[in-house]
Amino acid sequence: MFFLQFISKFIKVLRAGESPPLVAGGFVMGFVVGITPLLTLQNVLILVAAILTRVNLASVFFAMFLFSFIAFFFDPVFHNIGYFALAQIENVKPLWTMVYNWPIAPFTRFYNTVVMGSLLTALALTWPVYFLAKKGIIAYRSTWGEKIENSKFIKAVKGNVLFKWYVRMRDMEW
Amino acid sequence: MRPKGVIALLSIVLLVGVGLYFFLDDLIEKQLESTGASVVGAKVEIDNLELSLAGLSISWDRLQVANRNDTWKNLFETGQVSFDMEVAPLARKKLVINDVSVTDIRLGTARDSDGSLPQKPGADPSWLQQATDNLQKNVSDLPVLNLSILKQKVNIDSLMATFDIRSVARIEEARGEADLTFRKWTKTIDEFDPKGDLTKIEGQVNALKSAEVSNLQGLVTTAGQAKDIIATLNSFKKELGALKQAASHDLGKVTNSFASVDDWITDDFNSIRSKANIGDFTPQNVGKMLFGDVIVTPTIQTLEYVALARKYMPVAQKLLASGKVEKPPRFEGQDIRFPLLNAKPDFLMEHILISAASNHADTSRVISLQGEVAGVTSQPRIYGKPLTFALDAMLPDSRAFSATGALDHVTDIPSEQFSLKADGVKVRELSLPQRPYLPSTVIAETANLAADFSLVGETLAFKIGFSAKPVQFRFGEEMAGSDVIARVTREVFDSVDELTFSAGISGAVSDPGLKISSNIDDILARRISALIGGAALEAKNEIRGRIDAEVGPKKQEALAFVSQNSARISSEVDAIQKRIDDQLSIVEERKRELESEIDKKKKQGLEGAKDKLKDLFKKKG
Repeated sequence: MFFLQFISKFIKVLRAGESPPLVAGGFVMGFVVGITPLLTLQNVLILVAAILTRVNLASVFFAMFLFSFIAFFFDPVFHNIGYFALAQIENVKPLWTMVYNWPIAPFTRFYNTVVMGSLLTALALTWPVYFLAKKGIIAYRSTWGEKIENSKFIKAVKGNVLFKWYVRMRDMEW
Repeated sequence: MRPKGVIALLSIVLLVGVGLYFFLDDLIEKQLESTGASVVGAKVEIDNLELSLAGLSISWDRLQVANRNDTWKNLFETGQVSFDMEVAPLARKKLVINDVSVTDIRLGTARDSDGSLPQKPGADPSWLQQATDNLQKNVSDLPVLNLSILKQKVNIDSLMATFDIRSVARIEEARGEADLTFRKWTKTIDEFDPKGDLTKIEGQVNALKSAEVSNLQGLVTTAGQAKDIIATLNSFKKELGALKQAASHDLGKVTNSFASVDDWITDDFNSIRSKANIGDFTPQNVGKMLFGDVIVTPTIQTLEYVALARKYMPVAQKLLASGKVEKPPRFEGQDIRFPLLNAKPDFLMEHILISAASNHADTSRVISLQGEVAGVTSQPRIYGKPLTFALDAMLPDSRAFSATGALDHVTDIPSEQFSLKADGVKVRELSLPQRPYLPSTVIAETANLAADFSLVGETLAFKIGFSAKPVQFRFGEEMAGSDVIARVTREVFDSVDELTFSAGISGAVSDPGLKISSNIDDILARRISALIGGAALEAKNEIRGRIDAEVGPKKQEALAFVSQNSARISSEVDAIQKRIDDQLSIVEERKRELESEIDKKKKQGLEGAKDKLKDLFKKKG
């Protein structure tokens, strides 16, 4: 029920409420945490930052939930990227060795291929995801939301059981 | 800043802190108990463990480590102990303790509950299992000092009646094979082809000898005939040579098969002797009977602890990842290792000061132990130094035992070396295994002991030297007996004032050999041999005599048969050869005469021609 609550809140936020940069910022933070293995120092710091700042928490947890599933399918790709970055680029090995000797290194698990691969991917996609999320929220609020709700397809779907579940979720009071 | 967020975060931190405060001690205690139990192979129990996060120190009120060989007793237990941990290695889940002082260790204390763990089949390495089995076999295979031969005469008649003397059948079998060989060669010589031709040749040779030839042409023709006869005789000689060689080979085989007759008789004798249980009573057996268990049991216990050390302090470790794992489990990936500066092992206790005492109600028997252990680590190669220890053990009013040792697992081949030394220590009682007629306890006033244990890779060398004086032997009631043997053995042991023995266990660790010798070996063996030797020797001689009486004639008859037939066949072959050689010598002689005649005739013919030529020139002139 915890995640359903955040999904419901996120759907509400998409329609109206907090400013798109705050929602998109939360979404990006959730994206980074969701796409990388959870138990690392950097993810804890991102979550602490999300809690302390005014980004939208519902979008953080929704993105975490969503990208955790997506990350499952891309796991082998992250492993390959991570292995390449950690073991096959000779020039950065001194850097990794130095970081490896820091006392906090074990908490970051940067030396793990999946952690490194997914982190590099997340960092590379941070700005595009933020940009697309912000544009998407603005577009949804201004045009897409109304158009989508008046489309024949949606009207047909509204009679569907799944849609009724969606409405119940959307209007749910927590 | 989100005020609610700050409150939530603080709440989480507080909750985690409270949880750690109440449960972390228990968690660590359980983890240490579980790890310790898996290392020791028996229960490890810690009372009131406390972790101080402020100073990163651990303390406990009591630690009990059960003895895996006697699970109702502790190997040792400690009183209150506290030590500090290094902070930085904890981040890498490494436990590094620089100094710990354990001053209140008590050895062999009784337990309230059984300290055994459920047995895991196949947990011991195969070499340890093999070593244990073979060492125990070394002792269990020893003959019991069964001297019943002194009391009952061996019934040779019934023994011989039930025993099938195999050497007779083997001689018959060999004789049959020899007979077949001789028949074959008799037939071969009879059918030897050149024999008929040789008679013809002899006729030709006689004709050649008596032939009177005067002209040159006749001489040349006769010489040609001689050459042909020589060639024929040489071909016979060659054929006979091959035949002789084959005959010699077959006759040699026959002779060789009869060379083992004495071994067959000895086999029969040994079989009957074994059936009659007339074993040799060697001094070495006495040494093993008395001290075999005393040596083997601690050796096996030492090897068990060495096996544990090899398991938990392994020699070979990969420090860096060797290559890419193509398909690691989902979300787990692969950890890439980089060189660590000042790397620490996962577990390290650099220096432990020990002060201990054994648990005895009688204070005069309390053994106190003091010393230090260095370099206890789970990764010796990373630590780079072997585990070393030096301990002194003392009894009241006695000099000290000193034990030193090193477990070197830093290199590829593990090596464990221990030595124990004691000069002039009070031993008091040493229990011996319960064996009929032998003492169950030896009481020594003062003793000297030197033991050196070495296991390098798979090679074991364990030497023990022990001497004690004065000594007294005590016999258990049920084993003492009252017959003549018991009286003799007691007399022997009562007369021994000084005991010295040396023992050695060496060889491949999976199959080590055990040797023990002591000064009482010779004394006891002489006395026992004097008693049993006469009866045993008499029985042995009678058995040997019976076997010789039954097998001897067969053996002599077979050997004579072989000898006669071999000689006959050899002489027949030699006779044929002589005939050939005789004819050859006659023909060669005749051939030389003919060639000389031919030369003469040729010279005469040449002189005649010269004279005729001179006359011709004179007439013309």
